[in-house]
Amino acid sequence: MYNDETVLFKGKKGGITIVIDDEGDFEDIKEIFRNKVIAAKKFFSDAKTVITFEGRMMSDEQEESLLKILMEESSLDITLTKENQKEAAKTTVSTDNSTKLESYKTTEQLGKEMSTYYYNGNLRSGQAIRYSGSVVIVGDVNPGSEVSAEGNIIILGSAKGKLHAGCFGDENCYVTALRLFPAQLRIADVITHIPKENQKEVKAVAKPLYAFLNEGKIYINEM
Amino acid sequence: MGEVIVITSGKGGVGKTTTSANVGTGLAVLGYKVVMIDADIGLRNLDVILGLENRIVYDIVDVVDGNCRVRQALIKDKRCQNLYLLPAAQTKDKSAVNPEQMLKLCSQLKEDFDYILIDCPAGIEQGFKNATAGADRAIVVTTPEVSAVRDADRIIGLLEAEGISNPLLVLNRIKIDMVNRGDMMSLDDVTEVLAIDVLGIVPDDEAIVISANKGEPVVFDEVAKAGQAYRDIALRITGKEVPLMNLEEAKGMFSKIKKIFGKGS
Repeated sequence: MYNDETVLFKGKKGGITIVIDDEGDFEDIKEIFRNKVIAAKKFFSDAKTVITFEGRMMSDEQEESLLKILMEESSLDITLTKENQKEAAKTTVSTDNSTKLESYKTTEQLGKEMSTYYYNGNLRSGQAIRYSGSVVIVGDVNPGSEVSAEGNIIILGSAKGKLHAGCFGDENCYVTALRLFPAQLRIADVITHIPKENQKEVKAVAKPLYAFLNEGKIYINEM
Repeated sequence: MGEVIVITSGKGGVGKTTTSANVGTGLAVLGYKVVMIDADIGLRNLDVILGLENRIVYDIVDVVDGNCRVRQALIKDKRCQNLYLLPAAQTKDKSAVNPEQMLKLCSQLKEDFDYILIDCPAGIEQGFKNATAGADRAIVVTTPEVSAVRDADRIIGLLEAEGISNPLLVLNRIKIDMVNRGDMMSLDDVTEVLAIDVLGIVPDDEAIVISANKGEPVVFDEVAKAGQAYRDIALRITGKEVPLMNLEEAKGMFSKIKKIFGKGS
């Protein structure tokens, strides 16, 4: 009853999806999972990543036991897990569980806190900050530069570069800057840029702005 | 002990070589002992701008390879005392010299000269690394165009990474009429992005083209606005405080009258 597809690893944008067969005993699944992780060590080369489970309904304990195996057998540093059931699995889900759909386990639950990176000075064209946490920049983010953070981005200066908050998919992340005029703005998987006809208008706003994600759209408000 | 100043921009065609030639000549006119190094190996221009092309015997590659002594490769400018050029090789490429060799060359020249100006090639590759290796200070040249400013910003970041902080800005080729009409970036627009100290502004001037064709730096031209701009820049490098040139004055009598009647910009 078990085959190659009992446990499947899929590399996806912003993380790894693990598809687990809905049938079979969990203890067997665990062993298959461990063997697969060992065999696919290279696949988990990224230092930080988001793990998503799919296909099988599992209890918190079961999920954590799999994550534990993953951490033991690979050099992976798991910071966030996201649960996501397949349509097929959904039918067996009780109402209580369905509320868990798309819910996040924060890093605190895994015993880790998201840290913050502070950068003093201007980020110039060609320079980039990528950080598995929030980023605070005391200075300008110039055109041609990039900031991507797993958490929030806070810029005490003008932001004209490419910004990506919640780069591993956290939709609760936000971007804020004293002058927010980014070339491109991303929060989680949503990408936006200021339309050409509004550019002058936005540029003229000499106030701190706050960008957040709501129902798949990025909104910018005055602070 | 001299000072090594690299003149760089990232983008090509913004006036690095013109700035190098004029600032170097300007410093020499002020009485300082100056050597200009053309680091643009394979695409040398500085010798042409200075009108010294036909006097090249040895070049920088000969020096670092040990084919000649530094003294032999230096070309003395006959128009003004204390001015020397170390030309680039035209038949080689940037890989003919490495940063260690440049560093050694610079420290050698420092003993004999007050200012060593390095004309950096465009780009951020090997040529840039060579040119900046021995530099103490940097002058970043840009024009009031978004692409040039973007590249200048990149260059400032790379200079900081090389340990050359606080580069100075030369804003070249300003057309004050266009700035007044709002069609060109102003000095404020540029410094807002780059956030570095301004060494000087140079107006767009036909005299530059004429002087380059003649092989005679515009800094010798007493009338041209650009010549004055470069003389001011040279003075500022030596530490003197000279106010930034008022480009508005460049206008003729007619526009002044128009201004009185409230029609001028």
